[in-house]
Amino acid sequence: MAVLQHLQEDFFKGIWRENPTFRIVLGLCPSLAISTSVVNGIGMGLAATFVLLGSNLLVSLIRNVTPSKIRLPVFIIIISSFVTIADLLIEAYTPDLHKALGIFIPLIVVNCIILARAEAFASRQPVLYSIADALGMGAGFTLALVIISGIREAIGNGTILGVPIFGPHYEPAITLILAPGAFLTLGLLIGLVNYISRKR
Amino acid sequence: MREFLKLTGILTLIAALFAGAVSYTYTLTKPIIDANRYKKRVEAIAAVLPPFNNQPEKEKKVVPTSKGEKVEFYVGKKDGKVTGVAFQNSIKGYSGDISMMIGVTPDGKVYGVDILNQKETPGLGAKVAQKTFTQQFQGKGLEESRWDVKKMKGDFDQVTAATISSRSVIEGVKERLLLYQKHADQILKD
Repeated sequence: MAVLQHLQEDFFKGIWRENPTFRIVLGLCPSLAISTSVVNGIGMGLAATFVLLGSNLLVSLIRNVTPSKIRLPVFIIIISSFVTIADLLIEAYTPDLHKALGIFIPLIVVNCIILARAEAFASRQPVLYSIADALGMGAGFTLALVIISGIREAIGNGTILGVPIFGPHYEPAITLILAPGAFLTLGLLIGLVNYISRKR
Repeated sequence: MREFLKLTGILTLIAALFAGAVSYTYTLTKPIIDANRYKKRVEAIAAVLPPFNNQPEKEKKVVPTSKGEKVEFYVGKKDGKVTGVAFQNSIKGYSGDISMMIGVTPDGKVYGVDILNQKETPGLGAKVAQKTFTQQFQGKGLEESRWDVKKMKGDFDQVTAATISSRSVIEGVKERLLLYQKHADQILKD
């Protein structure tokens, strides 16, 4: 029972208490750059979750044989190899998905969330908990991206997932899907999340 | 010193191991990826040409440009008669290159334009890849049209707030039409 509770906690902390985007504020470069449409947000979120899962699993498996002095280069080798392998496999077996995710997959290498989870969690915890952590962090990241991109796509383009939501007379505020919109949306959302958690 | 050697050894070992895994995956997936890309090209050619029943990707003519590139022209034929010619172009857009497949009827009028790859701003410049933008090229020839956006006194609609992306595509199509016009005799010859 304790194991199950532990797993549950490792999973859910990624969604709110330690949400990578809103609370830990990591991996902002991809969050800002690709959150222009909900499809992009979901794609990036899922691709990052996939890599997180692979890297947490491997890092946790070899945690007892990796000398701590060289652990960071080892993590980076694992992450970048895993991203490249994932990229090749996705392109070979699901070319349509690869076309949609194309530029995001290589971008995942520089996403600090992956390295942060390897260092802060997977290198100290058993495999099972590391998987729960990866899934929770991935879900939290995906959720954050969907919220940011939902706001930006709705106001900046008048659509959600490409479907018009405000009718034909809505004049989109293009700023929201340009770079300033990314900073405005993210800043206001982090403020909102902080406000809510203070109140609690 | 001994620790130094030990750490270096372990790191080298791990790096070699993962490099091996990556290159193994590469050799495993290379033929599949190449086949996918070839299929994509064949589909793109079919999308911009009038109906044909030969294999245009195999009946190609190569023409050098003044910039030193080699452009491939894929000739579509129905029962031995040329129905259209398809060719590719890649031109600098607002962010990165926009690559497109262009199809013309033998008289040099556009039959279809298909954007293969682009990295334009999502929601803005990226709309040049949509049918609503690319369809307007159909039936347009070099002489009859002014090849620029309406804002610059041309004949083509632009994507709102994406003048650079729109003009790049127009310029990319025009550039290849000129090349086709120059070498049409050679390309249409059997």
